[in-house]
Amino acid sequence: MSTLTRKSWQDIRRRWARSLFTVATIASAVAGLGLFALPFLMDSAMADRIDQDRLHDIRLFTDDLVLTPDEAAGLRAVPGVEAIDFRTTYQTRLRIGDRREDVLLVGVEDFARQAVNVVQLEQGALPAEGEGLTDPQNRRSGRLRAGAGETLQVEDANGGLHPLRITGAVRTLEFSQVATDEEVVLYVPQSTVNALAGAGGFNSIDIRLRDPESAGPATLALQEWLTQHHPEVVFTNLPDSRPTGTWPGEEVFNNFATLFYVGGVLALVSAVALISNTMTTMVAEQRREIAIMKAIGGRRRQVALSFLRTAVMLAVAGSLLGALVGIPFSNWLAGVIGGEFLGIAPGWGIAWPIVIGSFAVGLVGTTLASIPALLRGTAIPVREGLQATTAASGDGISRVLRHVPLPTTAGIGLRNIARRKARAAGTAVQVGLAVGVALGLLALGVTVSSVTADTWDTMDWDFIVSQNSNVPLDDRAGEVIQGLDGVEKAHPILYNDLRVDGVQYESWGIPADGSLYTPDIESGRWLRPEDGESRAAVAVIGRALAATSGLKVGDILFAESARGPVELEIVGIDGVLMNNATTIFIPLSTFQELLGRTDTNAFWVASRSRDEAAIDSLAARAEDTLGAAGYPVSSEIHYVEKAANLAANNTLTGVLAVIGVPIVAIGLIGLVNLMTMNVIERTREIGVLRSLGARSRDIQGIFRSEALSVAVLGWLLAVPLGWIIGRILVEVVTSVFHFGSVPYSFPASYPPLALLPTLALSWLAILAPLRRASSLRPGDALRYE
Amino acid sequence: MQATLSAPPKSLSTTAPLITLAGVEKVYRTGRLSFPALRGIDLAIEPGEMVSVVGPSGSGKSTILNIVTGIDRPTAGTVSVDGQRIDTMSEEKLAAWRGKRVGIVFQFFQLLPTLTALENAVLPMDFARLHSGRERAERGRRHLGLVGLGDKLEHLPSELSGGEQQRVAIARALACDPVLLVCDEPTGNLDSESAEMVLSLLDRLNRDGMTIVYVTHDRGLAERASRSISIRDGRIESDRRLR
Repeated sequence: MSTLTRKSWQDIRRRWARSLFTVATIASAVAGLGLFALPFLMDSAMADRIDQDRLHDIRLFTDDLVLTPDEAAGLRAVPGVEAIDFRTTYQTRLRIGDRREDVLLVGVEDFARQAVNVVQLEQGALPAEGEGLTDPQNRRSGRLRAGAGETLQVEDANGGLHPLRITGAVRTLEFSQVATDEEVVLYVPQSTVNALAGAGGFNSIDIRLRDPESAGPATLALQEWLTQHHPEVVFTNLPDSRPTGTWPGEEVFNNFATLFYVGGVLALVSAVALISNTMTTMVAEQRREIAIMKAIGGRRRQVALSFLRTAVMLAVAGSLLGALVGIPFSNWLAGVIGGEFLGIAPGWGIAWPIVIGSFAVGLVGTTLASIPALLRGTAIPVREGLQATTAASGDGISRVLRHVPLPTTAGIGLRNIARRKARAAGTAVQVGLAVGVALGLLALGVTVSSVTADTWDTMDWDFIVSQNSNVPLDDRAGEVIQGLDGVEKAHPILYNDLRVDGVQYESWGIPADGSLYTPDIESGRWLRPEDGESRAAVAVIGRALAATSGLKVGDILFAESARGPVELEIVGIDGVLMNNATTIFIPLSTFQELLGRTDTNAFWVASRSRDEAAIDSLAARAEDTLGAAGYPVSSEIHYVEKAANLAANNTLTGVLAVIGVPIVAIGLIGLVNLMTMNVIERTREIGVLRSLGARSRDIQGIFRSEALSVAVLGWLLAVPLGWIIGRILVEVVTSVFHFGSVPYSFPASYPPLALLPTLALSWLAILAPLRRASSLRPGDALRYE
Repeated sequence: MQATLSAPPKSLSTTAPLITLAGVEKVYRTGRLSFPALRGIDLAIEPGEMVSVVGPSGSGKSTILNIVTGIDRPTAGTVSVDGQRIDTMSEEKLAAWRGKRVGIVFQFFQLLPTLTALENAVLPMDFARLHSGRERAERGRRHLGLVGLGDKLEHLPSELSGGEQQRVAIARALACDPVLLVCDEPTGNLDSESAEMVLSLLDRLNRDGMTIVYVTHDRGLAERASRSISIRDGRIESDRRLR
């Protein structure tokens, strides 16, 4: 080993605290790159899960359909079909004390022999008749906390209550997301579901194909077979065809992945600044050694290479550690996202390309970040490098500070910052980025909440009653509702889906004089009464749908309905962010005609009283009255759903805040790094100060004022940075979801509120370096080399 | 040749010695190595004396200064300065005591580079919380005037010559009216003209009653004191009264 190589190794060993910090800095930067592993991990987790669950390629939805065993076998024999499972799904209500909770019962014909959308037991025992399995997402969403051994009360089609004992828990790719987003999900023997629903057959046909690419023709073939053998069959909704290679929730996840990439880039930028700052300080601390080596004949290139070797050694250690730490970090994040939004518990995975890539980025990035510092450091003349300390300049900042009346220790601290402007500025940038990201994420959260609240406020109904059985809601049901004391208005609404360019969109058949919804027409017009009277084939579409499909007012919307293709003239574009601005609004009578029905499946109801208790009571009476009249319904209350939506957005913002974790960590490490280096660099000065009578608190006061002044500088930088980052995040979100322009909220109270935690965290971050500074013995400090 | 300990000079007055070292030893340990810098030093310095400590490099002379000022602690023995046992004081108490009672002048000046000459000169008073702000500034100006730098109050150390920096260091050492002035190679980094200026200043302070102990490797410089202690290999070789 050459002397210079040995020197590089000794430099690391001798300054082990400094080396440890530098390695930690590099490691946290590289670990942050684990964000880029998310798509790999989720794809891998989902691929495993799809195999495990034997996820469907097609689902067909019908009314109650009874098939003989031969007919079932015949359906299974349709060309291209690999496996079919039949089930009934039934939406009803749970009674949990006085509370009524929507529940989806998923029927399973034979738990022991499942072929599609397999319900696999995770905990407890398989259910028998009158028993069921809960989904862990029920507890996670807060809707149902019951576990094995507990008994629930479930409503049947006539409103009667039946006990259902929970025997265990299970998670499924297809239904757990429903539990996350919409309602309680329970998995129950098929016979139990049918008994509760008053059904005799199935309403969901789950199919796996030999060749998933043939979903289109296979769907048509299956529908044709069913129509031939059961002409009375009613397809109650569009078939659900899963494009090959995709998984439920993938589109939403990919949209959020964009945000994670933004976070990863921010972490990288912050890390590069930190590493550059660290290497600059390391080289500056060794300027005397550099000068000595040059004085005894070392050429600049030789000297630079010896320090570069040290930098590479540290880079290797830090990048390796960071790449390894990035693995649990990305897995943890995948677990949080999988659990919170996708209803799965991803197993452990390693995205090797990202691990190797992040190691390479850390290694190359650190080395490159060191080069400017090395070039500067080795360019210092020998005489200047051999001087004991850096001379203070009489520059503007120092001159101004001399005239500012400050306590002695604060004055010394601030002037030291002015002496090391570049280093202090670098650290202030890191702190600024950390606090700025936090402010930006807060702004994103406030913007999203504000937009969400505004969207809910466009709907003037107080509750919705929805069909909860196979019994649709007709004019008589409307009369029953209208006749209830306390009801101001009741509008019939038909909810269904249309498929446009292969994507399903929620569509509303709405009375043209729908005064219970306030659109924000950006171009064209809203629906008119004459559109409904003449059953005109017109529609108003959300602006995000208009943007993705390139449609404008006057164009024809070609769509697939449950009954076949439809064509609607677009007469208006609505700017309200209902369903992420993708809703299709059609005159009710037009939509009924297109779907071949005269009834509806929901009513919007406005209460005379705005009091929440009065609304709760009216909704309960509406359910009971309609149930007694032969219309089993469930209700959703506006103020409750609005609060739940806002709470869900807060969860989302919370998950996004995880992006900020590596950046904040880097910022704090940067501050600790700066202070540690300041203390180490001025060890002799500390000895002199102690010799002059400075006590521990004087020494701490000097360094504390340095740290806090950098923190304040960082905070000042964070305010405009936070505004910009928040703006970028909102732009990314609105562009990814095609929202169009959204009013950006950056509360004026946030910047001053951010100052206190910035100072508090900085205070905590510098405790260790301060302790070192004040515990140094003067003799040891004066002798420090 | 074995070093012999000369009998210490008789006390010039009947007052107690300002500095007393009894059986002081100091061993420096670095990893597995240990280096005995002082091997049993017995020493008494009276108030008003000007004492030089002379010896070759590594003899232990700077260690004696560090022991007397409390910058280092003895491995064995006792140290009393101005009636206080400083070898048993805590670091905090030592720092406070040192600021008020001892003035230290370092070989390489050790001025704070971001502070002006005046600010460096008042710094010990700030740490000792002595006098009001205005009084501190007045005293600082007076001390700088005393060392001939009354016209360079607002200069940074980088704007002063070596001799001027050392004089600022002396003014700083006088800030709290110490009973003892300790100098480690006070002229080691100066040209002869500046060195003479500094030595004349020390003479003047001593004539005014200041007890001064200074370390030097230069025997000629050592003869400028009223008493010279020669040290070698951690032991006192000789202790001579010169005037």
